[in-house]
Amino acid sequence: MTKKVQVSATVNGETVDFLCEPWQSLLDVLREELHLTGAKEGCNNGNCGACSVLLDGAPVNSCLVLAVEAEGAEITTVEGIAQNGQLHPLQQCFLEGAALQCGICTPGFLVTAKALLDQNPNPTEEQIRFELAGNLCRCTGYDKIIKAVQAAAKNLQEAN
Amino acid sequence: MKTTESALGKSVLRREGAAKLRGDAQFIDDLPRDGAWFAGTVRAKVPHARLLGVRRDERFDWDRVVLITAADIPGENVVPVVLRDQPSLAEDFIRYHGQPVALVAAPDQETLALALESISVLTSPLPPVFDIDESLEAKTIIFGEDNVFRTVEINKGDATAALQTADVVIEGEHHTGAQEHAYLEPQGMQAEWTGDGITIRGSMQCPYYLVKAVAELLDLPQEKILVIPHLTGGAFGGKDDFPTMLGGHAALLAWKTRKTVRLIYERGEDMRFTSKRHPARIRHRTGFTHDGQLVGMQVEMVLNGGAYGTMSPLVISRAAIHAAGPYQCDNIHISARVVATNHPPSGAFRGFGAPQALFAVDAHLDYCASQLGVDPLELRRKNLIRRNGTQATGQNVGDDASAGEVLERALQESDFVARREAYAEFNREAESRRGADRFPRRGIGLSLFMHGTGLSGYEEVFFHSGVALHGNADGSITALTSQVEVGQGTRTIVAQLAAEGLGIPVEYVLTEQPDTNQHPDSGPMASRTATIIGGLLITAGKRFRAEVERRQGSLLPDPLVFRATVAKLVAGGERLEVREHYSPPPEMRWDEEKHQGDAYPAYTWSCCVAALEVDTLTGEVAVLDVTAVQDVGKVVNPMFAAGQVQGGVAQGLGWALLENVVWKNGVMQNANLADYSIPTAMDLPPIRAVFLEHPQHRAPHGAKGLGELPMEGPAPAVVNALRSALGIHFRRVPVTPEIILPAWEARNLE
Repeated sequence: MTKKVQVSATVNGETVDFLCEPWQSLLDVLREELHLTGAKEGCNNGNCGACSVLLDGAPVNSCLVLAVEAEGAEITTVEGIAQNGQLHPLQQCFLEGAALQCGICTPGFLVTAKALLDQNPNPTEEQIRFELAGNLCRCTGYDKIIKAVQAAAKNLQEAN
Repeated sequence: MKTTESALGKSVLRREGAAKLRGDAQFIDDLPRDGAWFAGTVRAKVPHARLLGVRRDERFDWDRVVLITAADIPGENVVPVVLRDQPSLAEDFIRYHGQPVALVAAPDQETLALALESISVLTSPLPPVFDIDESLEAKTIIFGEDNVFRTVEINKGDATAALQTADVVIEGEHHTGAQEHAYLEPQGMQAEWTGDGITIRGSMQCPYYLVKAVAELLDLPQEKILVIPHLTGGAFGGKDDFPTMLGGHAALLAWKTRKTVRLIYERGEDMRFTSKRHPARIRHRTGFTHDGQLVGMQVEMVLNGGAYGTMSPLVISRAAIHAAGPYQCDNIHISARVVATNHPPSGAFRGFGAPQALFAVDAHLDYCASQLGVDPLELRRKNLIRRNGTQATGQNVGDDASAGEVLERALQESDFVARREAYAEFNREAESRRGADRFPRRGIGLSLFMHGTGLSGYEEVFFHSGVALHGNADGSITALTSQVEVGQGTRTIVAQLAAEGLGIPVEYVLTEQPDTNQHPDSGPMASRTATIIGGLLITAGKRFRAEVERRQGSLLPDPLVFRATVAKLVAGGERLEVREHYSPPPEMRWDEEKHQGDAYPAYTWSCCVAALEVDTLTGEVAVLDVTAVQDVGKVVNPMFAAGQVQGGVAQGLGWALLENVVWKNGVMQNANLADYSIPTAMDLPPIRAVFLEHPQHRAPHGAKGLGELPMEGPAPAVVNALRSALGIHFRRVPVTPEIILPAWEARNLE
């Protein structure tokens, strides 16, 4: 038997303590212990990006991160993107630009795009495609996702 | 006084969009796990064998879990799709590697994993059959007397005679591969014993299939089975017939355990053991006059159906009907068969047999143009079906047929002719340089195709789709259909279509998660939501309005007054409900036996243009851009419609260039999303969707259906563009660098 490990992290701005098995993935803990089911399990081996979350601001496949690695880290999931009940400009642009269909990949795209815009407020189309290439979508053909990220970048810049 | 603007043609925002964006939307795997048991499947590890039994390792305490084999099934051991040949759990024979033999449910995942490791399947192997030719040889029989699930023959005029007298006859054989649906949400079901029946929630397209299947499996009346399709994370046909098996498994375990049971596949299991697009081999013999007039077509097509019939008898029908493409020819013979092999069963997949048929005919036609020395554009202009022309089954395609228009519009939108010349110049320039074969080449190609709207022939009649509109106490109206939200936007467009019929703002119409107690059977599959279901909703809406106005004794054009009146009537205890069921247009005639007559109420028409660059050092293809022009009759929601086209084109480009299912002994070897790659944002170009709207007469709003059509264009367009780039005709998709590079190197040796 393994001994559970206590981990303390910041999740969507709140300090959270949880117990986990040393082999448990961050995705597992987010979904099953913290009941944050926004990040999805699309493949559980790091290929699809549906489980993407931000770990200290950088997008990671949470299925490939051990929950114990979250000790002391700041984690942002899709549930933490909207602020005060208001959709984030990225979410608003995804909605208005029909950049989501079935919705399984959407949380991963949102957090990855947020990390991109936090780093680079004015990315080119090629940069957006490159940064989002780790997130698979089977419904949209990506076109509307790229356009929504471009529109959000513009809105965010105008707001600042 | 205000009246209501039409809700059709407006990009109404996705109803469940905000919930999906916030991460709140609940998919099947997101349900709370309180007390639910976990389930797994014990599978055969040989492709073809006699099943001798299962052996349980007695070191494991079997009282900790519940195990089910075929012998425990209280009702009929069958997955009822079309042929009823597939057992829910294997009984006497194993027909594919991975076939379910037993089911296990356990209180936690660790116990489940231990139990699954402690059981083995005992078999006595039989010789397997994997490819089409082996199956047709029928040395080993795995279905019926000859391994053929169904043969469809279509005859128009006399193709044999026409080919004998044709000036030129050109032959061609094309192959298409299996394709994995790769919906981002794997298959999953949760079933719960309710005391005297079963409630099943899950990821699926067709909840009513499951009601019938589970009732048979458990020998329960259908009223005891409630099916609730959750928001479904992509489907593409992969959640049409397959969930009938999966839901049956979950139900069996819930019945046996008297608990709630979750049966959710992980990605590898999903890719290895669920259905794929039918691989196909298609042979054409095509006769022309010297100047390129089409005089005769013979098409011989064989689809690999895998181990059981599933949807194959219907897939082969659609494949056959589309085999001559959007071309007018007086002498056609089509022979289409779907055969059994020891692969996992092939099943429904966006396009449903038509993509294979349309790839072959349009790649072949472009090849014929090169052999005839005719411009492929001219060859198409000369032979495409015109208004009121007749297609292969003898059906008049109607005065909304627009093959010519979509072609001309696509040429114009993509600047085809000028770019073709520019790329030819680019290639001549490359050709003239030292080490010419090492420089990239560019090409542009197109495909012309059509897709029959709705289900084929009489299937729509048997299906008898229904919708209902129900007045609520606040004056809103709920639209009830079983159109599951799989990503296509059905909750939103159902509201738009009902609002159109009712003549009220779309916000007054509620749509909800369907369940089989409340919502009539309607699909969704076969690109039917906007057209068939839409037609029913509009008619029901008009009847609903007329009924309200009759009871009120006056016309109610002001939507606020209409809403207040509905509220008042409902508050007064009146029940306001209108139901509408599909009945085929009376003039439609169909002979299923001969496959003659009106195969579909209408056709959508499309032209897809792909421009690409080939890296001649690696054989890799970069698609530069795609333009898809389609006539869908009436666009209900322009942004959603464009999304369907872009997503369909992406899936078509994947099928054409990337997506290669590697088989070994009947098992998919690359069953993960790294080794089986679907297109990423880096692989895809901008995809333009252009719509024409020539309404069809058989739907009140003229819509013709869209979902499947766009995936059919890219494969032939890509192969045609590759010929334009490299001067090589590729006869197979996916056409991967491993195929392109050797062909290019061989060309340079010539």
